[in-house]
Amino acid sequence: MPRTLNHSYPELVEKAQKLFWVKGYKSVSPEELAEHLEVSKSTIYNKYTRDMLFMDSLKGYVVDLSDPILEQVRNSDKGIEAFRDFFYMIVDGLLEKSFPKSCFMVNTVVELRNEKEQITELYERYFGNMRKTHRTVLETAIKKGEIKYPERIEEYTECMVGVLFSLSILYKVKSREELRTYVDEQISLLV
Amino acid sequence: MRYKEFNSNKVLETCINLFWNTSFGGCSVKEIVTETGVNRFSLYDEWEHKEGILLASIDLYQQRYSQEKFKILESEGDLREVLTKFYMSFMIDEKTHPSGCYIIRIATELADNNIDVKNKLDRYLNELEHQFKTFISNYSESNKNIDYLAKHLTGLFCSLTTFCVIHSFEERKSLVNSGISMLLKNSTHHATHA
Repeated sequence: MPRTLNHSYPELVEKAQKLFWVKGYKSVSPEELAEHLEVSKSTIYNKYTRDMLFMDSLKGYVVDLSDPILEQVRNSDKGIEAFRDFFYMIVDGLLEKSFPKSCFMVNTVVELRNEKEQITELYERYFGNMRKTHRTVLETAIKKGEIKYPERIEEYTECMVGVLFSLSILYKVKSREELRTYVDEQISLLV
Repeated sequence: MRYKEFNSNKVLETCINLFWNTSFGGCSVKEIVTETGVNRFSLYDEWEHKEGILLASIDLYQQRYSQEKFKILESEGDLREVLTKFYMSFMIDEKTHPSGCYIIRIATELADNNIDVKNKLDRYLNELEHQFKTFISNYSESNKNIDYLAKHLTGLFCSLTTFCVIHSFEERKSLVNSGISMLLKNSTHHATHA
């Protein structure tokens, strides 16, 4: 008799996300995935495939986690301090492990590069939003008169996005204090 | 002692490509055997276990590939130009490897839970920071500024070798330029090579 499914699909995706986020895509075999999700191997081979669960885990990360945080950052009226709050929040989250690991989306790109078109499309959406957020924060800061050279906004946007992503490696070897100083020094280049 | 029938570095070269492309966790010992043509007993005899192969492959990559790129920082010339050349050397797809950095790639997968990989990453970034310091000290910068610049240039390296790997060449170059000019805007850069 086939094993009945104890979980709804969204629940399975949520569970799968935890595994993929930590281990990446290629390291998780269909067998390991089945075991982790407590479903039969045939469920993974025939019904909810590894590809499908991975894609939906990643979409969930972008839509339910990354997008809302970025929206909050964009809506802040704090200007330059919004960067500090945001970057500190990321540093704390990484060091306290409230995120299982650094950005799921960026780690996926480092692992899979352009191999899967669907992922590249999702990344473009994610990255566009990331850029827009940093730019919006800079525009607010400019309105508040905090930025010394407003005409350099494009360059600043690029650099601040870069700082965020450099944290995704630096947190692995640096202390909270070092990371905060790093963030502070980068922000001070804007003013 | 058994006669060794294979060239260790050649095996490690194959493993660098294998782990880079298929990830370390996603690659079985059976695949390593197939790809390298060396049987499992000989592999274990040389490196003890799969992780031993990984750690040795990181060392080889650093010695053979990173050092060669780090050497760019020993060249004379305009500060910005040399830095750009250095960064871009990691950003070009090569015959043997894709763009990016193997050590960053492996650390992304494993450094959180594997202390040996974490230590390799730490050593690597420290080495890079040291190279930046030596390089910048050829230009008229105060010591305080040297430490500061080296730290942030290392940060720029980390962002370039992560998300940038799927961006276009122009976008990579643009991030390099912006990153460098943001850091250097307050400094003067007259080369003072002896």
